[in-house]
Parts: sequence; C-alpha cells; structure tokens
Amino acid sequence: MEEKRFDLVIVGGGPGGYSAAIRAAAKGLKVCLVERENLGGTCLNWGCFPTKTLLHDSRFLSELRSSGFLEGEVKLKFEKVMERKERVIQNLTHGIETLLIHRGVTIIEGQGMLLGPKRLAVKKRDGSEMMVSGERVILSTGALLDPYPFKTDGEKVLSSRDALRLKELPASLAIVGCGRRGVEFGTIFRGFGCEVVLVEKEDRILQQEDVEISHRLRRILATKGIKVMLHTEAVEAEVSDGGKVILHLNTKKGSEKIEVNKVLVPGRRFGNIEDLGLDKIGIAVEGGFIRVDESLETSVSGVYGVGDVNGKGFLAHKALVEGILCVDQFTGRSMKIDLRLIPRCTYTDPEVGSIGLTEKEAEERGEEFEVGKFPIAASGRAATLGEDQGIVKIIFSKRYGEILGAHILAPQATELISLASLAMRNELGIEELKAAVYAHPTLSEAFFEAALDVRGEAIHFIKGGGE
Amino acid sequence: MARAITIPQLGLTMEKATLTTWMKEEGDRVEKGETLCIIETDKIDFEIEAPQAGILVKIMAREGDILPVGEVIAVVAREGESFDLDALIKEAKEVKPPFEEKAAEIQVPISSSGLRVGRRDLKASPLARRLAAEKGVSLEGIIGTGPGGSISKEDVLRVVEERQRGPLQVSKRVPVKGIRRVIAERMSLSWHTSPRVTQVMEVDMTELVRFREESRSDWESKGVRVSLNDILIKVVSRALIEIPEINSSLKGDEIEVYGNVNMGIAVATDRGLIVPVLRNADKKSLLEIAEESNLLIQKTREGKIGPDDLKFGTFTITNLGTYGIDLFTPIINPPESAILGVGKLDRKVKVMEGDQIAIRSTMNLCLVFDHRVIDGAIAARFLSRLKEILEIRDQLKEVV
Ligand SMILES: Cc1cc2nc3c(=O)[nH]c(=O)nc-3n(C[C@H](O)[C@H](O)[C@H](O)COP(=O)(O)OP(=O)(O)OC[C@H]3O[C@@H](n4cnc5c(N)ncnc54)[C@H](O)[C@@H]3O)c2cc1C
Repeated sequence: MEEKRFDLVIVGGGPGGYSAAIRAAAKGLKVCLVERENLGGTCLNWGCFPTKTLLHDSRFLSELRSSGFLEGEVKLKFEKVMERKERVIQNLTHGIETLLIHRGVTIIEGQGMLLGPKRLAVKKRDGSEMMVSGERVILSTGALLDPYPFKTDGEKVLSSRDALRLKELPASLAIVGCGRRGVEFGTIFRGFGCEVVLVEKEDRILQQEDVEISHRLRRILATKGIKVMLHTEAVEAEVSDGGKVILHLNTKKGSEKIEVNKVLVPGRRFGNIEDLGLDKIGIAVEGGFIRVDESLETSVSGVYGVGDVNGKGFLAHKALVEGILCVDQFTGRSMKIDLRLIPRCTYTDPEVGSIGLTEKEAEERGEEFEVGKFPIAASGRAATLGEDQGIVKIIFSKRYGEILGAHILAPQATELISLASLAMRNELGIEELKAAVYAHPTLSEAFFEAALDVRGEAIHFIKGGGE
Repeated sequence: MARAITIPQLGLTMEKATLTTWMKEEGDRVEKGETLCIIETDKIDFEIEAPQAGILVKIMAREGDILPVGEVIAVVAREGESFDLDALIKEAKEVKPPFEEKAAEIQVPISSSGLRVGRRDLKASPLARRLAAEKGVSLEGIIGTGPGGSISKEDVLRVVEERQRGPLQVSKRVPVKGIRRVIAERMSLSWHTSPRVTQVMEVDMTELVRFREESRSDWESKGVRVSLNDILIKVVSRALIEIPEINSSLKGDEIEVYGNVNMGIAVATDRGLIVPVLRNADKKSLLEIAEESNLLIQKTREGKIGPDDLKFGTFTITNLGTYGIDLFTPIINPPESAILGVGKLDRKVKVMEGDQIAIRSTMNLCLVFDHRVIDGAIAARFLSRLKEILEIRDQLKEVV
C-alpha cells in the first residue's frame, strides 16, 4: 500500500488543523493535512461563517424594515440569502485551500485513523486507502453536536446544521437552550421576521457571561420581539397533525405547551473521536474529549490534541491559537496558552464580547476590585448607528489597576473585545488605558471612558445620571 | 541656547556611572533625541540623548571614565552660538537631578528626560514594573516569559516568592532516628577519627568470570548460588590472613591484630545501610560462605537480623558494582581499620602481553584504610595480592 512520510500529520482541517498546518509549513516542516469533509471545518462550513453571514443579512433587513426610509413592504427572498451564504463559504474554503497549497501542505481528502502513535491509515473519498506517518501527529477533529434534550429529525426538529440548510424561512421557531448559539440563531431568525421563542431552564441566558450582561441582553432581545422563557425546561417535541411542532414545557407554574413551525436544538458538544483509533494506541479520553496537558500533548507522547476536540473551550480563535502555539513548541520556545485570556463572543444584536473574570468570579476569588462602566447610550458613535443599548464594563484590581475582566454588550462588541485582549495579554492596566488616544467618534472610546469612570472622571457620562 | 549634558540620576542609590561609548564626535551635528553616548551603571545601560538639535560643540569625558551623577560630560549648542562654559557647568551642577519619587530603581522616566532604557532584556509589562516597584525587586536578571520575552506579573511574583522561600525547597522532613541515627553517628565518628587514604587498583576479572561460569553447574547441583561477592569474601579473607596488618583495630595505645576474619558485608535495605558480619570467613569454604552470606543478606533485608550478627567485624566489603558505580571511597566501619569498595564488573579493551588487544572483564577494587594503623605500602601489597589471586587461575583455584 502507498505510504508517505511527513514531519507532521494533522487530522482535521478546521481552524485548529489548518492554522497548525500553515504555521508548520512556514517553519519548514513537511506537513500533511487529512480532512474528510471540507477544509475550514465546522467554523467555515457550519459554524462561524454561515451564521455571521446570515446575521449580517438579517440585521440589514430588519434595519431596513424598521428604518421607515422605504415605502411599501420589504419582502425577503430567503433563497437569495442562502445563496449568498453558500458563496461566502465557498470563497473562504477555497481561500484556505489556496493558503495551504501555497505553503506546500499536502492535503489528503479522506478519513484518518491512527494505527500507531506515528502512523495513520487514510480512507480516501474514492474508497482507496493509504498510509501516512509523521514524526508528530496533531488531532484536530473538532466537536460534534449531540441532539439534546431530544432527537432532531431534520424537518421539524432541527440541528444547527439543519437550520443552516433551510430552504424557507419558518414562520415561527422555538430554540431550546440559551447558550451562545441559541441566542445567536434567535437573533438571526428574528431579524428575518420569524417569530422566535427561546427556552431556557436556568434563571438567565448566557450562563457563562457576567450576570449584568445576561440580564441586559435578555431585555434587549425582548424589545426585538424575541420571547425568552426562563426557568422553563423543554421536555418533548411532538409533530402535530397540522404539521406543526408542539413543544412540551415544564415551567415554574406547571406544564405548558407551545405550538411552532420548527424547533431548533443547538445540542451539546462532544469530541469528534469516533473511529479515530484512539484506544488502539492508548490515548486517554476524558468526558468525551481527548485529554491534553498544558502543552496540548495527549497521554501518548508526540500526539497532540488541538481545538474543540480537547474540550477546553469551543471557539474558533482558541483552536487557531492552539494550532499555532502547538507547532511553535516543535520548532523552538512557545508561549503558554492562557485560557483565561481567550475572548468569549456572542454574535447577537448588539453583540457580547467578554474576557477574564466576571464580577461574580472576582468576588468569589476575594479580589479587591473596582468597576468602570460606560453605557452605550452615552456613546456619540452609537447614536449615529441608531444604537442606545448596552454597556462596556471593565473590572480593575484595586491595587495595581490590572484588568481582571472586561464585558461588553455593544455594537461590534466582538471587535472591541480584542482591545481588552491586547491589554490583558500585555498587562496594561487602568493607567495605560487612560494614557492612549482613541479616535473620535468611535465605539472604542468606551474603554477610555470606562477607565475614567472608576474615579468618576468620565467625559461623556455622569455617574449615577441616566443609567 | 547652549545646554550642558550631565550624568543623570537613574535611581535612588545611583552615585556614578561609567561612560562606555560615544556615539557622536565633537563637532557633529545632532538632532533632538539622537543618542549622544551610552553610560552604564551596575544595574542598567542608558542612552543619553540630545536634548535639542544643534552641534555637539564640546566633549568633556572619555570612554571608560567613571563619573559622578550631575557631572557635565558635553555641551550641545546651536550652530555659531557662543557660550560661557564655566557658567554652564556651574549652572548644571546647581540643578539637582529630579528624583524624588519612590520607585523601583529600574523604573526610569522614559523619554520625558531625554533618556531611554538601553537594555533590551529589560522589557517588562507596566503591571510588572508596578509590582516590582512595590515589592522592591529589581527587574534586572528576571527572565521574562511574557510576549516577546517581556517580564510579566507572573515573572515578578515568581521572583518574590523565591525570595521569600529562600533558595532551598524542603519537600519533606525525615527525623533522624533508629538505624539512620546509628549510621549517622558511626559515620561521623569514623570520618572525624580516622585519617583515610584510598587506593584503587583495576583487576582483570576474565579468569574469575570464566571460572565462575565453569563451576556454576557444579555449585547448582549442590543447591548453592555463589555470587561474585562470595568469591571476593573468600579471596579477601585469605589475603587478610596473609597480610594481617589490614585485619586490625586501633584500641587506645595498642593495635589489635586479628588472627581470624569476621567479614562485614554492606547491605542496602529500606531502612538504611546495615552491615551483618560473617564470622570466621577465613576458615569457611566458598560454598559455606555463599550459603551463610545468602542467609545473612536475606535476614538483613527482612529486618530479622539480631544484634549478634552485627558485632565483631574485622573488615568490610561493600559492593556498589550492581548500581553501576565504577569506583568510590567508602567510609571505614569503626573500629575496623579498612574497607574494600568493589566497583562494577565491566568489559574493556586492554593491551595484553605482546601488544595484543583483547576484550577483558575488569573491575576496580578501592581500598580505604586508616593511616594511623596501616601504611600505604602495606595497603598496596594487600591490593596487589588480591589482584594476583583474582587474576591467576592457579592461585584462585588454590584459594577457593
Ligand atoms: C453554529 C455554530 C456557530 C459557531 N460560531 C462561532 C463563532 O462565531 N466564533 C467562534 O469562535 N466559534 C464559533 N463556533 C465554534 C467553532 O466553529 C469551533 O470552535 C471551531 O470550528 C473549532 O475548530 P477545530 O479546528 O477544533 O474543529 P472543526 O472546525 O470542527 O474542524 C474539525 C475538522 O476535522 C474533520 N475531521 C474530523 N474527524 C476526522 C477524521 N477522522 N479524519 C479526517 N478529518 C476529520 C472534520 O470534517 C472537520 O472539518 C461555532 C460553532 C457552531 C456549531
């Protein structure tokens, strides 16, 4: 059988895998990337990019509709929206392929399976098989979504992939679970004009975010016409005779039913490790994910776990940075990955971007801290965008002015959060934030204002007044 | 206006600096902010920059000069400008360098005073600088693990913690008692009372190894496992009878020389080093020695050894060969006068008679002896005799 040898073999061509491949090839390693579906992984094909494209279009449409600038009804051609999404994805996946080829990465289309710590069998798309071996192996096979709390059928009860394949916009949609993806899909479909109900069994949406941000976002969603049902557990989805879905709910008051056209079940993640041959070479698995140490190495030396598959977070930029830093340690000194410094992003309207400790976490840790805030209502630039909802909130340590956490609910919050990321990674504190000059009028001025607010010195906002 | 360039005060305790390099020459045109020269203190390197554009009209210090803070080293003036040098110097010396802030010595006003930290390895995050100032640690010498090797908060905290903890990290405390205490006391007694000399001799063990191979089945048929150590006990016992000065003890004003050999065998156990004694080894056959030593070692390892088994040794053999040790200097087990350290059985290329090269089995014998009792020449004779018996087949056959 055909067998090829490489310095590095990577299984999975998502952000974790392709960033590792590009980095390694740029450093002169002979690299092979094995991908069984499409380059770009979940992120490009079923995650970040299709959703962001749809989010943009849905926002565009709803802004247009609510602007009052046009006469008559603005009618949506949903298939055009989906077409544009496909084009964007195709362009981007093609772009990734070009980058990989340009760097000299060998791309093999097929399913990889470990035979030994340095050896893999690849079942190619045409059915043939080949062997590849590498001095080192990176597993970056991502995560799959387990339908939860009930099964999907692809028609009425949808997974997130199903939702991205819809041919028509449903008139109404219930989403089970208000995590990042739940509220994101809710925002997208509401923007297109669909009736949206979000069902969440806990007491707030976006559990991992700062409490204040959760509550504020929930109020904003409500003003956009999204119904958020907290303390509500979805127990069953039943297709009615009329072709609708009856969602059975347990609420604080008792059981309830709602009728919708479709139900979206974002589901729970588990590592994409089936048929990877992990047990054959004794790679330890923990809670459905590949166990890795600080340097991303699995329990078998020379084999690494990068991205979603290691279960340490499910964000594309985490996978990207892990891919890069993992490779760096093969060729020299590598920076450590500080998981606390990975920004968390929720693409709603406005968006949520956060990093570091929440206020509650800072309290629990016994940190002495001060909070600087700047409401978006006070931002001149936000006013020009027609936005007045949201807040920028920065938590500083009292003693050194260190940034412990930043929480942004604002237009472009996912862009703004990188400013906090840059500052925290380089240990810039309140003084440094205050010392920089921010272009005016911009949203990023909120950082300056929030830092000033700690001493009640904000320029465009009076503490205690207004907000 | 003409400006005098002085040695700046860069830290609270700084008194002087060495001028290491002039980057400009007298008469050069300089731009504002351009580096004029580099000075060095025991802590840091600095570039002194031109405070204004003009001509470096005068240089008043040479490379290598050690200069006090405030000393005038040069003058920068506008082209064609005339000035009174003495007045400039006087004026410059009257102005006290501004340094009142209590800060880490490395925390230097950047750019505002026309100065810049010159040393690249002192990249530190603002937070790290603040922390260092507060904790009173110097950033000098701290290894940065932040972006681009800059010193981060963690790095400063690590140094602070190390400083608090001290250079030693005790992982556990084990009370010195029981066997450990006995070992400790006897070893220090030995170390402080006996002036030791060590002699090492390499022995060719090829014949002995062959002999052992040949005899193995015979021994096994008698149900005894004979180790290399057993053979050594036998051979050493013989040599001790022949050269009894080694088999002796210093007792007050006398040296007791013994007519029998009670051989101490050093045994490593979980509880520490124990040396059971095989009595009258000189009078026993090899197989008897083997049987008895096996039993003694087993009892010792199992902790079943009685006090009688540990007494009246006249000489000790200690073998670290199985641990891969080539040679070592064991400590004499008092009141004995000598101890034999046995190194590992090795294979070496040796030059034989007639300049032939051969692969041979070798081993080092290390004799440590108390020079109060034994002289070097006698010790050497003893080692030579051992070598002879071990190397020459006939001699060996005769002994064992
Ligand atoms: C709906 C949705 C929206 C999202 N939006 C965002 C967002 O906006 N921002 C963000 O940061 N994150 C987002 N994410 C998460 C993001 O997609 C993931 O964190 C990211 O894709 C993880 O990258 P990865 O390289 O670890 O794995 P993946 O991107 O999942 O890539 C794994 C690849 O491995 C391949 N593979 C698996 N097994 C094998 C095998 N045996 N042989 C060969 N190939 C194999 C798969 O086909 C896949 O292409 C979203 C996720 C979803 C589901």
